[in-house]
Amino acid sequence: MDNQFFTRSQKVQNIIKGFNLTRSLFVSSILTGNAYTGKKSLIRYLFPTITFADGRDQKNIEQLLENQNELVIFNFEKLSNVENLDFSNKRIIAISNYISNERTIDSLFAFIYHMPSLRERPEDVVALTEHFNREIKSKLMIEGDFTIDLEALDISAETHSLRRSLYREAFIYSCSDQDIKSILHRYLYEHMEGDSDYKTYLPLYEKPLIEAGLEKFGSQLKLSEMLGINRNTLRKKIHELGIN
Amino acid sequence: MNSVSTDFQFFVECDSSPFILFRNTGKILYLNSVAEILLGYVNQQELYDIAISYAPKDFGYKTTRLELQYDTFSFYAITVAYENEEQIGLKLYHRPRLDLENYQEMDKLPLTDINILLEANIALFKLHNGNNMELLADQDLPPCRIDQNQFSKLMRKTLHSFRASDSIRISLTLMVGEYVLIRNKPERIIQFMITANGRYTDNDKEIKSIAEHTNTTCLLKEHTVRLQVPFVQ
Repeated sequence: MDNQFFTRSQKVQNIIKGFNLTRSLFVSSILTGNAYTGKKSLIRYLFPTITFADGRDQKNIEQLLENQNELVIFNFEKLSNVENLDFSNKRIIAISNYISNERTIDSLFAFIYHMPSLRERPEDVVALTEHFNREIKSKLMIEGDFTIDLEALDISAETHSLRRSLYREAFIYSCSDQDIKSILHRYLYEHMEGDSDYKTYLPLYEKPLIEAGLEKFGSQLKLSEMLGINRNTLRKKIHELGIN
Repeated sequence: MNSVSTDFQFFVECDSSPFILFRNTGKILYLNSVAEILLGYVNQQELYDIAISYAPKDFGYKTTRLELQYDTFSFYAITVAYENEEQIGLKLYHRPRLDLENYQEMDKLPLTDINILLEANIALFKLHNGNNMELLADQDLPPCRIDQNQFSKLMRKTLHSFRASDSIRISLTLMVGEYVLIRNKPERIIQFMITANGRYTDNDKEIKSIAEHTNTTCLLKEHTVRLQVPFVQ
């Protein structure tokens, strides 16, 4: 199991400090926050030897609470009748994507921590991007460094979307002519239905061609020269393709 | 029986009940250490007036049931004694501080470094609040038996009531001269005190309720909260 955790955020460092201070105590703590903010990774990193149990398995949790004095419960929000659980003199760490009943959580847990989202810790986006890049380069066997379009990074679903957007960037970077042809081949094969398909699918090549050209050469005049087409034809294409 | 000359002052000094010996002018001739602390919370004239009011009609002593409350000091009876016209003695009896029934489970509680509990709660508080804090804690406090989870909650709630205060002073100390009787054994008391320029009282009911379940005496004032826990080892 990979017990690494990456953070440069002071807010997360403070949470780590809190957990480290109470690691020898028999207290109940809960770490809440959006899905994919690294809650489970953090707890696994801090408490590698404690049993982890899924809150979706109510019976298992109840059984473990009877027999063990320390337990990590993830998907805590999925548990029902939590007010009846006995956490006294036990080391309980709950991980929850949201708080369904604030009063119950408040009475069950001595320590309530909130994991900030990636939007609230941009320094971690940088750290995680570096980490994921190393992972991606190794998995996709990419040699050398590749440039990342920071605007293409997606943190709307926290680390989940960040990782996905980085994989996509890495794939785009590493694509060969043959890969692009293969992708188009597959896509067209699956989508062509025989109704003006030439007109329908031509923008697949034309739009990126003109957009990239405009970005690279800066003006329609220069681009028309580079593409070897008439300036009016280019202007008409830009209009048809809805390029801004 | 042979007469033996003994200095009883030492024994009076060790007594956890306050004892004060007044001159007939109201001036204090002697007081034991716990009475010295009590005088931080009550005017000596008030105590002298009580002694005079409840003195026996003739030389001797008289014990009277009397409810008195000075800050966290709570008394249920006094004894006033005099054997001449010059001096009068007053002894105050502490109300049993807690329900002894609750102590049955204390042996089962884990030994706890209460400083760590406090430090963790301060760290948690600082996650959400930027208030200035001053901490005075006795780092040499030995571990004691405490319900870690409940007492942490109590600390969290208490600290939370100071969330809007400019400057917060926190102290964690072993009280001098104050004891609580647990199964006929005097146990010392730890005091967790927070003072600031004001506080929210929205959690007071809950603080009192948790305190009741954790053998803790709590005193909630406008600027101060005191939590007193038996120091059981």
